[in-house]
Amino acid sequence: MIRAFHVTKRYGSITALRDVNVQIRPGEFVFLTGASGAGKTTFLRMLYRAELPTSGQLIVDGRNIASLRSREVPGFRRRIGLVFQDARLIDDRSSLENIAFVGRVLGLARGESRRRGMELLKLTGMDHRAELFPAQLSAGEKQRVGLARALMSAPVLLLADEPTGNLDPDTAIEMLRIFRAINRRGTTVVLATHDPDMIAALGRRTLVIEGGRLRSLERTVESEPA
Amino acid sequence: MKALFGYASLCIEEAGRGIWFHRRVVAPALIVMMASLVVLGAFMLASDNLNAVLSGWRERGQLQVFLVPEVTPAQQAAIDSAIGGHSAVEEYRFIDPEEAAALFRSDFSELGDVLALLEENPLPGSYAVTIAAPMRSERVLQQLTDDLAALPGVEGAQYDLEIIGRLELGVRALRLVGVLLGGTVLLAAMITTANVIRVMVFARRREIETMRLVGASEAVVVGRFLVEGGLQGLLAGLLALAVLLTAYSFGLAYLDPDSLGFLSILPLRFLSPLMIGGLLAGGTITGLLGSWFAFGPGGVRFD
Repeated sequence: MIRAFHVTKRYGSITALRDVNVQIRPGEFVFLTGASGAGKTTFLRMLYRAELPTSGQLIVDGRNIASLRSREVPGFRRRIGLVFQDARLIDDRSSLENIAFVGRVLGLARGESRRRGMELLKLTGMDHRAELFPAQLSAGEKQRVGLARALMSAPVLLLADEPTGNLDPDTAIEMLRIFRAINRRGTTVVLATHDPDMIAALGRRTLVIEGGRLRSLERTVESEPA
Repeated sequence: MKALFGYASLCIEEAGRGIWFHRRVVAPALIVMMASLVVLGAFMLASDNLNAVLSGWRERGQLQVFLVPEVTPAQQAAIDSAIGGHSAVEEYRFIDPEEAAALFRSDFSELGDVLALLEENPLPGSYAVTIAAPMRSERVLQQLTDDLAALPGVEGAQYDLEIIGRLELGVRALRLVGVLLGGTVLLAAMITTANVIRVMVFARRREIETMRLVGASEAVVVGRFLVEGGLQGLLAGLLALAVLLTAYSFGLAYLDPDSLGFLSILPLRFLSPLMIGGLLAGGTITGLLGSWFAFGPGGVRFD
């Protein structure tokens, strides 16, 4: 699903990522961890082509990120689900409309977009908040709506940047359970976090970024959220 | 076709949502655009009505021949014969000084009986001549006027086209002022719309970035703002029409035709469907161009 060959990313004189080599297989669940500012977000942004590598090759879903043309980017992103730390919901529409918008972008009719949106809100336990606006939701609820939106395009790859960073432990565990369920359906998940408890709870392969370098730690399942 | 329809409906839906949720930001642009369209529409209304008068006069094809007060019966008979024998004349009628005075009193009742203050009736006898429809060209009318004016006993001759020509000049000047003034205000409206859209785009850059991240193409992101500008223009056009129609109806209902003087002869009518379409199209195009300028060269960029 993801292959990085000697990927380096520099911002002027600052090297954010240095000679990254990694492979993530289809259907895998991978944690991406490291201290704040280590380069986790930069790596994720490159995966959905918000940033380009300075050197090296990055292949995502069979596409070379660097050679994607601008007009190919929207189609590429429609195969990737994105979950952000602050959810990034659009303020002027309800939870359901936030999700249905993605369906409309995909070319679905209004009614069909709303129907699928409701299904996904049910999946994330947010169907009772469908008509509420982001300002009326708690941080955890926003995250669940954000996750439902990311699933609207039935993505082959789900990228989550600190999705539980603003959540209390119980809500974080609940979110993790949903991510795991999505992964069981075959979606590759890359979840960035600096929460060691969460990593320990699920015990999956972990990619650690330190000083711009990435190393992979193999782990076995220790305990999984029920 | 289905995809195009889906794209258009998405853009319209998003644009409508944008206008409604950001109505406080949109309102100033809408008001400026509406005001400029009211100015333009008012000039169109005035010039259209004056044109209707001119075209009515042009179709009448009338000519007046004024006699000198001391005209002899022989001279008048010769004049009568010259007019009646001319191939371009459809019909003619002699108006004696008494009838002319009566017509003056009826047409200008507000002047009172000023003629009664004079020792004698100053109005001359005259002929009202109607030209046959196929002959109503400026050349024929001018020739006939010159021929009749040269006859002994004739003080002068004039035809409506002279007045029409002068009025046409006035209407053209009015239209030019309308186009210049309306155009200037529309340009201001376009710049205002562009700035409002820029402010909205800048204020919503995070939302736009999110749209891009979930896979929205540039066609959707830019298209919805273009449609938003167009819809604002269309809305401004509809509001301008409502203002014009209200003012027109109010004018018809409350103004006394006798107090309008010269304007009382106008067969007043509202803008034609074509002009209404033009005004709405003008508003829509202004809004679209305003939006396009917001995204065009030098427009908003935040990638």
